[in-house]
Amino acid sequence: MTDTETSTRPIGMVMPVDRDSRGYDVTASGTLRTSHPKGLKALRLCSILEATTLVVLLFVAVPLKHLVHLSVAVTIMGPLHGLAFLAYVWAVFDTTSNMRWKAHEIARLVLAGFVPFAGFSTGRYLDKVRPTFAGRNAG
Amino acid sequence: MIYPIIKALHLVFVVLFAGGLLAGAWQLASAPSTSAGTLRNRRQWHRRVTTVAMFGAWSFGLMLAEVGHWFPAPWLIIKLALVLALSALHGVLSGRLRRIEASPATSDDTAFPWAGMVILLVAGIVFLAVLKMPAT
Repeated sequence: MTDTETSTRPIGMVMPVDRDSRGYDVTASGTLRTSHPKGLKALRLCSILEATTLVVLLFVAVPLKHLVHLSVAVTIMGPLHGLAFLAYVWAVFDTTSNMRWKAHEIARLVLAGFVPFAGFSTGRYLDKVRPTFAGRNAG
Repeated sequence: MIYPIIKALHLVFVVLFAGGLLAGAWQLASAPSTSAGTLRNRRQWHRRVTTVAMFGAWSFGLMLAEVGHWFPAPWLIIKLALVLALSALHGVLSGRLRRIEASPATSDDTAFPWAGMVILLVAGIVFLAVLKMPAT
């Protein structure tokens, strides 16, 4: 597969690829094509963690603080969410760096960290933009 | 008593993290003339020491902010933005180091001033943390 073919591939279209002994998908010429499955798994996990802590912070901890003046939940969830958010942003760049991801794909992943519930759909989004890994990570 | 202990642990991890980032930047620049075994050893250091140090620096830094009641000081918010940028830079370096180790011929990072970016971000973070400038 050439660069041109990769850049014009419609989202959701599954392209046949080979996987080398290290677990990378490679092109016919032997160069790396996209991110390592372990990196994508870590990114999925971080996105779920980040989305969960953001939802708990915004919809449980903050209301508790302002409605019943119970600030302990924000004291706990604030730093926890901060940690999860940093881990998520780090995972996005660790997974996508120099792996032929498009700028708008990376931007969508980063922005998902700011929007409540958006992180829960990141797994489906990864399946769309990197369909070659769907169902193949178990091995 | 707990505050200085958390601060000391935070600083230990920050020093390891910043040092590891500089080493990673140097590793990218020197990759074309480096053997595969050396590349693998250096990336293991990056993964096992620098990445762990980054998580340690975050954890103890957030504890410091909470115990010291620094939220939501403006200097801390700016510092967090710089820390986020530094963490993203670490992610970029990790990805590129992994790619170079897997496929050394693909190195195209020798000209980019990664080390300069690391130094600028670390300098900004240190100045903000030491001066703790109040809002005017």
